[in-house]
Amino acid sequence: MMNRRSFIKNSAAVAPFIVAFNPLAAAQSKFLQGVTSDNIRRNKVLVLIQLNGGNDGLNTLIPLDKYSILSEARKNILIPDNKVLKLNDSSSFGFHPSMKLLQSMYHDKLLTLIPGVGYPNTDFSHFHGINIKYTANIGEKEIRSGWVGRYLEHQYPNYPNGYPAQSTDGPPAMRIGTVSPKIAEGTEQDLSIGITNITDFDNFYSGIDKDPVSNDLGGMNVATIRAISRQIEVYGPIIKSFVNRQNTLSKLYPAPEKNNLADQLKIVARLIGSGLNTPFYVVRQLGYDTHGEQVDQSDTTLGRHADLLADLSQAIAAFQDDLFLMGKQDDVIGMTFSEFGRRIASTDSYGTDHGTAESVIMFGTKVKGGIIGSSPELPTKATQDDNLPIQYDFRSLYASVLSGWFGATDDLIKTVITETPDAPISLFKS
Amino acid sequence: MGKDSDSIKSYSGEWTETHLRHLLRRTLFGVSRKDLEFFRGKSMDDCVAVLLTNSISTEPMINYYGDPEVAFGDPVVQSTEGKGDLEKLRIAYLKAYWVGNIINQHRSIAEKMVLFWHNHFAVEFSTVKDSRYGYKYLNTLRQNALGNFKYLARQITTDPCMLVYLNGNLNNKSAPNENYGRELQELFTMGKGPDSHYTEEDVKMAAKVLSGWKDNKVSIDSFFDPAYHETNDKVFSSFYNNHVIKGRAGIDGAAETDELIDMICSETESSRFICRKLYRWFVNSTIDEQVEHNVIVPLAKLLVKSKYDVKPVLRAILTSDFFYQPFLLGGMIKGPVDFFAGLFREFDVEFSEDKTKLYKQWWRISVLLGQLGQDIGDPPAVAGWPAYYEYPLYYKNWINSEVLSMRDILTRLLSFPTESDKTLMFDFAKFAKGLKNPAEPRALLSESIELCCGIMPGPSQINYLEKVLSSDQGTGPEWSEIWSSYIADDTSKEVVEKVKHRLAKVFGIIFALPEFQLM
Repeated sequence: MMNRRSFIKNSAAVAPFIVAFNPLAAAQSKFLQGVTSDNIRRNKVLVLIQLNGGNDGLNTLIPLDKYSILSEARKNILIPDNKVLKLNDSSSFGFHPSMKLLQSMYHDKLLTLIPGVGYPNTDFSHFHGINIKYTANIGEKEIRSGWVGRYLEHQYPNYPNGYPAQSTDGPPAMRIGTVSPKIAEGTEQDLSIGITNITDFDNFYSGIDKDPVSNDLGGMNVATIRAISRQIEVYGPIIKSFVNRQNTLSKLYPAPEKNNLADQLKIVARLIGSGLNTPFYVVRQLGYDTHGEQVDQSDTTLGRHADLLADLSQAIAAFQDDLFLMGKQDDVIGMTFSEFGRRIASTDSYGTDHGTAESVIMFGTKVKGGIIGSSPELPTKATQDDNLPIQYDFRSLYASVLSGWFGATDDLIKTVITETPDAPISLFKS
Repeated sequence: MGKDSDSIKSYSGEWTETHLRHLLRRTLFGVSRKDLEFFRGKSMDDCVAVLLTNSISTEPMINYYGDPEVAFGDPVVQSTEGKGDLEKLRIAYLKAYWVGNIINQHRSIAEKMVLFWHNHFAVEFSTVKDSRYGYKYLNTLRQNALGNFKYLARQITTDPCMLVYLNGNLNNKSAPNENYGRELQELFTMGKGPDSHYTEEDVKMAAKVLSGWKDNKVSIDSFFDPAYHETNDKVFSSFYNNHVIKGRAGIDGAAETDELIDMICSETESSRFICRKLYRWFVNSTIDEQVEHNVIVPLAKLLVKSKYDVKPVLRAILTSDFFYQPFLLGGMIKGPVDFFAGLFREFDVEFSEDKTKLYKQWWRISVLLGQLGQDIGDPPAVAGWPAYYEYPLYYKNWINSEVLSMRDILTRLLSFPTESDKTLMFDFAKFAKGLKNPAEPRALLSESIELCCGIMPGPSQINYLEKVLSSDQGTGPEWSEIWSSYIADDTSKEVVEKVKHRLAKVFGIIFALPEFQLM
């Protein structure tokens, strides 16, 4: 929601690329210069998977100990008890039947599940919801930068000037598919490059950029586009040459164009396997906004949500297999995020409305494995007004990933994520 | 804090060709030379009057795409629902038909308003999966492109395509589905601006008001089924002055929907919300306090005064002082439709006479638009395209590394088509012939660049272009020679190829310039 303060910020941001016009950005960037990046852990990679639309966590990781409550609240979409995939170390939860591949990863200690991730007073709007997850800021809606961008600008001070610093350096973050750059926006600069496929940058012509730009909107737009062009010129050939050094090795991937997420992760695996030094990848799977027809009316184990989870499982399993075959399994972890979870009670139309907590899936050889958190407290008679309780604040989760995986110091984390309501979560094998 | 203005200051400065091109770029898709000739010499008021005439093609979508259920050459409007992949095919060609309308747009703002309404009342055809619903929805937008906002909002609320898209058809009294009740307020009529304070309870109440609307696949329409309608009174929050929409049984329940739209639109914030959307569509993305007070507030007053007719607001924008500020020139990044449709119109690309081939060409363009990020009929979400709502990037959302390089690849493809891909291409030689002084490189460049670039590139870029055009940077024959032999004999294949090749090289560079991406 806009208020007086955001109006003022708005006008300040007329020239987001001209620091002098933006006192806020100028102040922050001055501050950033004081932070050193001595503690970068090289070659650690985080792959973020956005589940677009708001995933129904209760039908993904099903709290079996609350089955009778669920069978009242969401009768028409309930997965039959005997079809739920059981876990070898927990009787409280089970997987959706589409997730066989993730079930076996779970048994191999390659999967951590965190039900109940969210934040107080969930915003039920898709757009605000995803903005909050991108920015890791719940107070102000119109914040420019994303949490990945703010972290990366510490690791890559003065980016893009002086980069790539080493011959194996890729862009700080890469987006595959159509993920918004917002998550990787720093206070002044996008720290990511997006590609749809690996031939994107062939023969790119960027123009001559010697002429100064005018001090009006047109000039600012030219400056923006020139900056993007320079990034393409710098990183296009690097990405291309690295991806060509490494073929896909896993046989678990489906044929191309059958599973869009798998196609995206395939590119990520090749880039990681090639030795490209890019610490963040963001990919996205579309279709989780299942207000209606989430399940098949005749068989609740089938339908839209089942297909989505099957694709998700297949993509993650193939990607993890690829990492093993490339010998990169210990360098990479993955984590899902969604704008919110869905309601406890289902709609008459075999679906679910927007809800609160999401169930986060983390994977990799270095994640602890198992379930973090407990089965959710549910009201005995859940109505349309009832929502899942929040067990972990997502900001604390992201902070724990930054410290546990990348070794970020507390001071650094404080500048990236301003509020972390919960204590750090232990996520990784020691 | 500024003081709210009561009226919009009209533009009274000199009316130059720069102003005219700015007006045309923002209201049409690109500036064709024919348009420029037509409007040249007319006053600002006369130009705007022409652009505001409600002139839009009424030619229906025709089966030129191999629809097995409709006779070849017949309109497809009343077809039965397709089985298997037929609806996918029809949706693909519905988009193609839309592209055709855009490229063949009349000298009217209407087509741009159709796209505006689509971005505003967004649906995704591929989610709805029924081309007939999509076609009906599109026609509703076309018929009301320059009409009344309140009327259109009411039509769209019970439009079968929208009912399916936002699950209004599944919204029942026993288990209300809040989807439409929420988006109606958040995205379609009220927004989340500074003075919008509707509550979660208002979302639930709106869902109850709207319960009972169903779609009918046979009549390709919607209807109200009282059996599914919540008949209790709906009590709204203090934001809506605790308004109570009286629950009605039977067929009268449908009238509650009218009352809901009236209730929402009677809030001042609603009129301001629509005006902010129009401002971001036609003028600029940044709305600071000054713009809010001096532009949005008076525009909203005008909208209320006209009982939500949009034309007076559009006229006020397009004849205003703020619309012609030099600061705004090139301030928008062309979206894919402006980019592509503009190219085809600016360079008079000839389309096939053969209707089957023509539909196929339009279809190809619709696919390219999707690849560049503007799949008309299938925006990424119910909020429309992020370029018009996502702070702080706004129009910059249209450009990122993947899209920028794809724009470059696609324009080169159209300039130098490969053997297998000659269905659409620029005829730069023919284009150059229509310029004032094509033999002179600098003149050729200036006139072309003014036509298609939002602002002029800098002198080193122009110098470089001139070197390429004059002599391929010293490696080829002089342009003046090539051109004069072409004028002497345009049947010699060798000469024609030389001219086309040189120009394709030059325009390939122009289309890749940052300045070309602007409008």
